[in-house]
Amino acid sequence: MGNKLTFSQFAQLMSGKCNIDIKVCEAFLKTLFRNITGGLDNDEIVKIKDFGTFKVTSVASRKSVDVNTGEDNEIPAHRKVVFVPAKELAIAVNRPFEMFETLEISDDLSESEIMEAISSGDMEPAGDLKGEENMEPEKVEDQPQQEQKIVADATESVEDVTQIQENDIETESDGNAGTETLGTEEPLTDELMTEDNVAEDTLTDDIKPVRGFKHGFIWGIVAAFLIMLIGAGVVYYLYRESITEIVAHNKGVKGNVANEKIAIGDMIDEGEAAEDINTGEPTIVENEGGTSGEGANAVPTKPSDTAPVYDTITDTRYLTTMAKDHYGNYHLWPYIYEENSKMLGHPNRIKPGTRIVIPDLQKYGVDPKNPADIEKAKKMGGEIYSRYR
Amino acid sequence: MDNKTIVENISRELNLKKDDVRKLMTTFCSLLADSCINGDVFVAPGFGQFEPRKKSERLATHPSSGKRLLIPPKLTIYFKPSAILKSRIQK
Repeated sequence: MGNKLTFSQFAQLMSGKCNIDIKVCEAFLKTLFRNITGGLDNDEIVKIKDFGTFKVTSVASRKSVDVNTGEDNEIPAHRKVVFVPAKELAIAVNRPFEMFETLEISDDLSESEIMEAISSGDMEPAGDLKGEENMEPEKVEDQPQQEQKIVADATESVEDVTQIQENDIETESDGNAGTETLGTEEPLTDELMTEDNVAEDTLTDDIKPVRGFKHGFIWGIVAAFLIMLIGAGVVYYLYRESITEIVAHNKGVKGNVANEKIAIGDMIDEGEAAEDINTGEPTIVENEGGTSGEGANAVPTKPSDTAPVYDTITDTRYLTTMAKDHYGNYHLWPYIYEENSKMLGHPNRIKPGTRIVIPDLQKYGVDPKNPADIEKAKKMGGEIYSRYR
Repeated sequence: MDNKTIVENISRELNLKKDDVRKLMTTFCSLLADSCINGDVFVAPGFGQFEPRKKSERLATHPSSGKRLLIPPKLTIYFKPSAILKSRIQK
C-alpha cells in the first residue's frame, strides 16, 4: 500500500508470473517505455493493446492568478501527455468497486437529500458488511436451547403457583357468592394489572437485546426471562378461563365474566406479542368491556392484525429505498427499522435476504406529507445510529 | 505508433519472439492493475508514474434522456508524466 515499485521490483514480479528471466523482463520494461517515448516524439500518439493510449495534446494559453501574490499571470500554451487506459485495464483496476451500478434517481428528490442518504452509509461496499455478520448468527443459535430448558423449569413452577391462586379465588368466590359481583372482580382486575406490568416489562426488555446484542450471555438471560414471563402468561390464561367459568356458574352473572374473558384474552395476546412495541393500552380494552356489556365483542382490532406487508433487503434495496417505495419518503425508514428492531442490528449492516415487515404508518400516527413528522423521523434515525456508537 | 510496431521494435531490440513479447505485455498489464488495486505506484524512471486514484460517487444528468443518475465511486489508473517527458514533448 503506497509503495513505489521500480523496474527491478516489477521485473521480479513479472518473471515470477510468466517464468521469464528477470533480466529479460527488466530489459523489456526499459525498451517498452523507451519505445513509447520515441513514439510520442514521432507520431504524438502511441496505442498499446490492453494497456491504453498515450497522446500528446496542445493546451492553449490561459490567464490565471498567482495564489501567493494575487497578481494576474498567464500560463503559456504548452503540450502535455494524456494517458487513457484501455477498457481491459480500466476494468481490472476497478475490480474492488465493480459491484456498484449506476442508479437512476427519481425527480422528486432534492440533491441534499440524496447526498445525505449516501453519507448515511447506504453506499458502503458489501465487503464491509460480511466481517461482522458472520459472527452473530452463531451466538443466536446457541441461545434457544438454553432458553427451552429454563422455560420448561419455569412453566412447572408457574403451574404450582397458579394452582394455589386458583384455590384462593375459589374460596373467596364461595364466600361472596350471590352477595356482590364486585368482590370477584377486584382480584381479577388486580391480577390483570400485574399482567399489565408484565407486558410493560417485556416491552422495555425487548428493546435491550438489540442494544446489547453482542453480550450474548446477558442477552440470553434477558431473553430467557422474557420467555418465562410469556409462558407464565399463557398458563395463567388457561387456568383463569376455567376459574371464571366456575365463578360465572356460581353467580349467574355471565355477562360480566364474558367481558372479562375477552379482556383477559386480549391481555394474553399482548403478552405473547410482546415484541410489538406500539400495541394499544390493555387498560382501555378492559374499560370498554366493563362499561358496555354486550359491546364487548367489538374490541378494537390491533394494527398488526391487518395483513402485514413484507419486503426483503438486497444489495441494492435498503430500508431507505423501502421507505421511499412504501411511504414516499426516504426519511421515514426509522419506522420500518423500529418495527423490525428485534432482528436487525446496525441499520447499515443488515444482511441481504433479511425479510422484514413494513408497518402501516397510521400505527405510528405519521403522515408522510407532514414536514414535522419527517423531522421527527430524522431524529429517530439519529437516535438509532447513536445506539451503535 | 500502434501496438504492432511496438511489439516488432521490442522483439527486434531484445531478440525475442513476438509471442513472448505479447505474453510479457499481457503480464505487465495484469500486474500493473494488481499493483494499483494494492495501492502501489509503478514508477518508470524518465517516463512517469502510474498511480491509482479513487473517483467518488457523483450525481449526473443523462445528456439525451435528461434522467438524473447517481454515478458510483470508481478506481482509476492515473498517469503522471515525469519532468523529463514533459520538457521533451515541448519541442
